[in-house]
Amino acid sequence: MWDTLILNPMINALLLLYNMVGGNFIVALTIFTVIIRLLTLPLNLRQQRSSLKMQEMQPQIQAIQKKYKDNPQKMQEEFVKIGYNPAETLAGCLPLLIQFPILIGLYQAILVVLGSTPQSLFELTQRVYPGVDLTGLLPIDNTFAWLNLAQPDPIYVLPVLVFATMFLQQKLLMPTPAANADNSDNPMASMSQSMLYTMPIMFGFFSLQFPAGLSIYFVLVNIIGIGQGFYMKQQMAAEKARRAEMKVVRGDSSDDSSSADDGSDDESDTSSKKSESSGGGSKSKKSKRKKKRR
Amino acid sequence: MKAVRRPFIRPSFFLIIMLSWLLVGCTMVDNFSWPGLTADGQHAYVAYGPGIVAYDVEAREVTWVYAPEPGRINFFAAPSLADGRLIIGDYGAPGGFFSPNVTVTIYALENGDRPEPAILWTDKESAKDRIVASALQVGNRVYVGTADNQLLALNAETGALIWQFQTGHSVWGSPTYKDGRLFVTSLDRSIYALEAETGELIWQRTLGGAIASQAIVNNDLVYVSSFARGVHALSVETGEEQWLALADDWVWGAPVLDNGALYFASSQGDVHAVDAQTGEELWRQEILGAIQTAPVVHEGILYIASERRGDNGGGLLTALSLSDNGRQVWQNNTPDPLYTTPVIVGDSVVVALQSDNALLIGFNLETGVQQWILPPPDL
Repeated sequence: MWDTLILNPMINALLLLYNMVGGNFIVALTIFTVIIRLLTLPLNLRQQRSSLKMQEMQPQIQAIQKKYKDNPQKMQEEFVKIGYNPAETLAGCLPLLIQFPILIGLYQAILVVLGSTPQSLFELTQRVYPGVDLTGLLPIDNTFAWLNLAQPDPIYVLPVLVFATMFLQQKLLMPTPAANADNSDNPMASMSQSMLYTMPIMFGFFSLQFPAGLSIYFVLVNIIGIGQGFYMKQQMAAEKARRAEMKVVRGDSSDDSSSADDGSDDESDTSSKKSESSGGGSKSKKSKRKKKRR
Repeated sequence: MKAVRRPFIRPSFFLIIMLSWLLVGCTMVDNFSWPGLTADGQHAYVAYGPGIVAYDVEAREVTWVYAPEPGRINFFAAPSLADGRLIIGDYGAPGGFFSPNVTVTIYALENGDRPEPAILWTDKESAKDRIVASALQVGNRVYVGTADNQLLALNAETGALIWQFQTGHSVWGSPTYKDGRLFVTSLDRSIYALEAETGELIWQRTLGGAIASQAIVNNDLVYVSSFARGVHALSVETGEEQWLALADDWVWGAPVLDNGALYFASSQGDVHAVDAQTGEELWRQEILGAIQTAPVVHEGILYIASERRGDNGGGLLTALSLSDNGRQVWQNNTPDPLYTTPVIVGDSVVVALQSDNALLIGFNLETGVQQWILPPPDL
């Protein structure tokens, strides 16, 4: 099942691309990565959007949790009001989970395609689809610059690149914390902060042992992810501007627990909400003052 | 505040650890290959997994076992035996969790009757990448092909590197020596003729397909199997192709010469016999299995090991009569596919397997009846 659905299609796609680009494995791998990213683009965009949105909504979520800790039903109602759905958070992880079979499949595909032992080459012959001229393709050129693509990078450049690009990508997905912001009461921000370092370190670490071909895949995926992150940031900024414009047109006054859209407001907005939420008493005083003015 | 953070951070670390395990656990595919098998006198020598085993076929007992670093290194090449010396290269030991480097070692062992062979020398410097090919010993030289495209010439007595020659891709076939020349095959589709003394290139011929096995040299012809679906006959002097005997699929294993005929087998499962001078087909016999091995000829019988086709899996050992156009004499099954060329020891044809229950199996040469099984020793 795994072989039929994941591994063999990947192997044949890599071989096909390798043939099409005239026998350059790195170019084939790059095109393959772009195709995979394009196929998973809707999911990735959704995940990135969800991730940014959830992180920015955290102050409000916390405030609600704190305020209605003894009244779960009311808490749920308030969550609905601000557009927070815990199930959506889990759904946001789906693209990440989908990446894993792809990653595992690609790892195995690279090992089989580059055929580092006679048996893996023999395996390759049994996995190619009819019509793929394996005789004409072999041997697969497994060298690129100083690298043997079937072996780990001996001079640690790729592990560093994997770490750096993944760090940048993660950083881009994190909302910039406001000055003097204290994340100690914001678990999502704390988690993001820890993920910001742990994930790149973990993958950089893997790259010490993984074939260079797979590390190059990581780097390519991260670079595309960085581009995607910039795009998402721009999109969300544009959305935010539109919302702000509409508020001005409507003459709305902002009520931080009444609008679901508030969760995707800018950093200063978030931080102001955060400071409000971190001091529950001051927030309630402010709302009382607002009500008095009305 | 801490009370709020803990429940979120702990799952995050837990998640990371789980994902790490998942990724590493699911993706760590062991590099594996088939065993390397050689025979000398009444012994069969098999290198597979972490060790090398010398088995006395006549006495039916293990003479010695050598496992230098169980759990860290693997052997895939067939041991090379000459002058009471066994030389073999390993598939490399990982450098550790923080190091991407692999240390490849070439071992020279004293081949005696002691329960553990004495180490004559080890060389951890010359080979920079994994060794799949069997070494070749000629006089006081040993020639070793590596996965990083090198052919190394070492002093067989000290292990000192004398010269090295670079090909365009991995060297999986053992080199062949004839009259001061070495014939080296490579996956880069080329065969190289070198001066054995200096490593100087005499000629290079590029064929239509990758070459994974060693060349065979006759008086004036070099025969080499290739993935270009056939066996090429080249001039020893110039490397000019004299003829190509076609098969229906890749020819992985080396051909074998016997009595003016050349025998080879294709991955499709056909055994071919051609005239060694002209390449003209003499006969062809179909075996029901994919063949990666070289045929072995002994007293008018050709023995061929193969993988059995079909759902049942397993392997086949087949004996064909050379005097009767390849008529099948006998055929027997093995529990696992056979990817290693068999060897003849005494009255047994010995096969090596990748099996939990059997490392070597001996079959009677004449009847094909299974005589003995050597389970993998506990290393």
